Amino acid sequence: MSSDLLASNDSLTQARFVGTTPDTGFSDSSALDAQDIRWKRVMDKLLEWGKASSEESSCPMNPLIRSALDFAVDCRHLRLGAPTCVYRNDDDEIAFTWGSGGSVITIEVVDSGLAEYTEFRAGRVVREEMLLRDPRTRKLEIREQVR
Amino acid sequence: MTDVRSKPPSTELVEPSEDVLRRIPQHFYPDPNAPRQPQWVAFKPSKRDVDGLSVGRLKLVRSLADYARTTRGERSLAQVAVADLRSIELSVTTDPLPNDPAHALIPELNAQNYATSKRRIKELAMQIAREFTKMVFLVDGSTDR
Repeated sequence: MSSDLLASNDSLTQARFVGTTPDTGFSDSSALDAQDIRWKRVMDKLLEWGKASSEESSCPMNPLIRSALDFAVDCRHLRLGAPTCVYRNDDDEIAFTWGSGGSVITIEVVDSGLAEYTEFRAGRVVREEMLLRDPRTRKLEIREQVR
Repeated sequence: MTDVRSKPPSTELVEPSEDVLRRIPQHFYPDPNAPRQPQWVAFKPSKRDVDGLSVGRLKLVRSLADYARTTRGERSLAQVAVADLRSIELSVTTDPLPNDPAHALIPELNAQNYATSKRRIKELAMQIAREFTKMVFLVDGSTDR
């Protein structure tokens, strides 16, 4: 796969429905509203974490959290389904997960503008990519396959 | 598949009859109705986990609430049986710290192994989170922290 964009990535396009119940697809406005509300919750939480992080370090918002916020804004703009979980570790790395059990997609923001995509099926990793955010197109582009 | 059993025990092995606790960093669930499960990334070694993934020996923990407190706030706690970890060829070694006598390590889940055997470590982390973990302490009744 070359020069894939987030919007045209098959797995991520499928991910818009992962973690949503059949009645919360994108076929009606109420489902769209529900997704929009969840994305807003995600962004509010990221802002809260960013504020806490900057207060702890007396620095501007941590670049990892800022990148995660950019990513959330992009996904919301593309009308992708909201993640089922957002995770923050003690290094302020943020991971978005869609799905549950052993079949999940995770996008970890590992550096400023850089994310790692991992797709599991039945507990096994079936796909890994490094994604680089292009600030011009506002999309994550595949940079390289993970070893 | 790369063998991740490369690091010798730092001190002594914890018995398979014991259970260990993992402090679970912050999770946020945008859907209030979603299952509040720990994610596999909670068991992924960070760059700082040079000697292994930190856990605590349950039998040496006096209070779950006290153990859940960290310098960066309160954490939820996941309990994992050492026997389950052994079943996937992971060990637990004692590593008591002055301020945390219960501290132990899963040495195979270290930053170096993650760098060289990323896929294998991710699958192990997924298996622990999915099959072996029981949440025993939730911050404010959830892991939404």
